[in-house]
Amino acid sequence: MTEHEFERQLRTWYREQVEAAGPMSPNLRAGVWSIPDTEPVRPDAVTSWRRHLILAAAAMLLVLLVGGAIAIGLQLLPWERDEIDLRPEPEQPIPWHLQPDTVMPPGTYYVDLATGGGRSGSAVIRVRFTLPDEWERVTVEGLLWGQNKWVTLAVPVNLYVDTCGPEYVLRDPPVGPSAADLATALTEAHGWRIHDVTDVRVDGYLGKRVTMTAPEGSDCADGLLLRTVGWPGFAQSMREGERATLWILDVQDERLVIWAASEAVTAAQTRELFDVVDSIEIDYLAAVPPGNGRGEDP
Amino acid sequence: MASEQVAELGAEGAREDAFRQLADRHLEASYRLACAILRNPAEAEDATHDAFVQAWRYWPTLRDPAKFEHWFDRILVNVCRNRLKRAARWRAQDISDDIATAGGDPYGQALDRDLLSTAIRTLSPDHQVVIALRYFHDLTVAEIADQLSVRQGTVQSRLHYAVKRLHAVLDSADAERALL
Repeated sequence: MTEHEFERQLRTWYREQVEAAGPMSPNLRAGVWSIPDTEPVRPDAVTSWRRHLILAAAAMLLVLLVGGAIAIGLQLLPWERDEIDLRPEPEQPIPWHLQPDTVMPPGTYYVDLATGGGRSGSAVIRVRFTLPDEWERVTVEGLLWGQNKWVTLAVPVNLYVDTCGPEYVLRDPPVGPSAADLATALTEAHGWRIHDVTDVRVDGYLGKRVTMTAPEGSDCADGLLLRTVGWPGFAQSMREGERATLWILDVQDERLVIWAASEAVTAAQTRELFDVVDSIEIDYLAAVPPGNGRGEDP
Repeated sequence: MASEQVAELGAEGAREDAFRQLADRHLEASYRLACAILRNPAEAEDATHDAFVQAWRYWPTLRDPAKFEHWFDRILVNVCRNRLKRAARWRAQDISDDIATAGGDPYGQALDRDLLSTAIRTLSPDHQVVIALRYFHDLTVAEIADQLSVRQGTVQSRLHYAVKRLHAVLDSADAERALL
């Protein structure tokens, strides 16, 4: 096939795809029409760009000065801490309005993660976390997206046999039940670059923190994705070259994974991501509460 | 609507009217572009709506309403790109069929479906966006670079990689058909 034929085929394919999608629904037009009635214009967007620039420069200078002094004086950086001890204020309300794919107002939320493969009567791990502005809950339970930053909360069951291939085949026998078992299995997975594995304690629960990068230059199927932690109906994946930090915790007899990753390059964005992780509180609930925690304050 | 009229609307501060008129004018094309990038009508509608919400929120940053289309397309492409990235990371769909058929020949199965669709899905979100802008939206390399705020060399590299990969898939299918 010549280059010209290929390009023609691609253009035709796109045209047919869009035509096949059909016309947009009248609801979209109505929805867009009503935006000015329901959405506020951002006050900061009204600020003149000059003022914005000066404020940004001043803030950056201040952050650099203060951050540098702290880092040098205390030899402490937030992503190097082994223990996460920052918690939301106890009196802070815990609303539940985690509608899928919607931006959530800043606040403290919780999500109930089913254990035992979600069987009826299984225990629940309730994870509370505090989100800043512009974060969304994604369709799947426990997945939070903050504009190029994301946190996954999961009770995984196993790893895939091949973290790069096209087959969703889970390990048999499965990875052992403890946090250490999973951390070891991850460090031994083919191709992964492991930066460090350390002991951690998060909200009183012990476990391992693993910092890892997906291998680069691999010829993975499925859009250069690398699957790592898997559980029924869901596959966590990373793109090549991405770096992620996992906290793998032993919570009673279960294993909780907190997965934080980012495309962010600025210190402020990294700080925001780790602030979300720092805010996490964990409760192990022996039985599924009525209503599974939705629509009510615990 | 003439540029002068649009500019006048913006200058007079009739934000709501200007927004609605421009949205009306660009809605259909925006939806179609989102369809091309996301290849899913429901996702495309959501993305289009989200992009208009962002456009409204940041309306005061649109200093020249006559350039609305260019300004808005950047927002829309970014929203679509984020959706592709998000979907790529979190495979929430039912994978039981994949588990059941693991070990089979996924290429052979794909040949029975829409080959190009499958091949495009295997590209990274950045590559998917670039080829949609090039082959559906008919933008030049310079225009795509401007839309995505990346260098022209980056766009050329992404286009080269995406085309090479898609080409390989189509050639492979042709070869298989020839053997049958």
